[in-house]
Amino acid sequence: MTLDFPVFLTLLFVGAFSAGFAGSLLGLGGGVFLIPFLTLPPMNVEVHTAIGASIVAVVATSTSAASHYVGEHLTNLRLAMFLEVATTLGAVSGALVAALLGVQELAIAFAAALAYAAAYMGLRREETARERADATVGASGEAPSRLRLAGVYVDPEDGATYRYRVRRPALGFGVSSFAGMVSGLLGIGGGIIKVPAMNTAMKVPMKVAVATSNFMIGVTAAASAFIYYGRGYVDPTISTIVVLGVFGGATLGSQALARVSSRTLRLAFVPVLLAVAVLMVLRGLGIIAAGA
Amino acid sequence: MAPEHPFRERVRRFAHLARGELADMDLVLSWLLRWMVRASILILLFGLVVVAFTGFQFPHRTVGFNRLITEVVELRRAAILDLGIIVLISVPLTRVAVSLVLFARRRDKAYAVMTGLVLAILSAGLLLGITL
Repeated sequence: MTLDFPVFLTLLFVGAFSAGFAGSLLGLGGGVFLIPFLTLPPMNVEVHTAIGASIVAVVATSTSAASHYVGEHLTNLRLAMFLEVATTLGAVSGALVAALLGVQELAIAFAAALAYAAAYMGLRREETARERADATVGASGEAPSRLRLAGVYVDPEDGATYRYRVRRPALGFGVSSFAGMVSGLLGIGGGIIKVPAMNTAMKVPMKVAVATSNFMIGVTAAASAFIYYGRGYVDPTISTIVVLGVFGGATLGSQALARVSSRTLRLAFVPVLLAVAVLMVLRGLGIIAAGA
Repeated sequence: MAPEHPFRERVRRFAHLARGELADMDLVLSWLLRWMVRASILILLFGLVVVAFTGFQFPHRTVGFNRLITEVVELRRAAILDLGIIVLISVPLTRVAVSLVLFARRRDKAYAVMTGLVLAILSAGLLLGITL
């Protein structure tokens, strides 16, 4: 089935808008929904072109969110700079590897990422005030680390001030390089890997983890976006429509976020993500063929 | 001038107190990111308008780094979309460059070096994009 070009462009915008909206409501970023939408019928965009468009859109949405968080002083700039060394190295190598892989391998790797995203959403809970307070216990009386990663923030929910330390920087660095590689390989932001790593392993408060992850994603995505552009995987028309759609959807989603119960919403999307993962496996195995 | 939102005002006062110089670095970077993304979105919208007024000839191949400047000067419609995309993916690059200056001005040597390293990796990605 091939679509008329005006129909294709209209669907492209509507799909990108929805992907951006859902991604920002669920805290997943746009890429997780965007790549399956682009590569599966009826759109049938070539996988590398889809990743190229997605990675450019990821730069737009994460940078826009990052400018908000950093203005609220939620972002830990030192932690971001430290981990960005890892994520950018990972992203450049991921983008180089992606060029060597075929459609099948990439589709199946993406299915694995979707299954992981489903598990992440099913298991994620809201951070309680008690946990926020616990995270700050022991913040004093220890020798300051050489990286000076410790920080302080004002929680937008309860208005209280929390000081925190950052644990296990080496482990965080390792996980971040993996997250960067996944980002460069699959055209997603990789926040679903970095946020839980920062929160559970490094003991960074949840809101700081989300803000700092968003701040890093722009740089990580840009590192691989230059490579995708140079390789000719960035289709100017498709990318422009996708960027405008995802950006518009994400902006609307962040405004709607305050008015919905996110826990119920996230659980409702778990089966959706799993179903899309199955479709991507079928696409990878050639059972769903492009351009058929 | 409109009164500032009380929460934001508290955050700002507090952050100055607690972290000193990094708080105003937050505000500089926030401003930079916001306006550069807006600028690139405007360029992309303008590019689409130009495409629409010139007979809906949608470009599917990038201009490439080498010819981008000359084609933009000649106002080729394909180049305008490319320019918007390049400005957009350069926002984080600019942010890192500005961070390097800000860390260096505070004589925060360790973080200036780390930021320089990120800038080097980003430039390597850019160079690989040009030469591959």
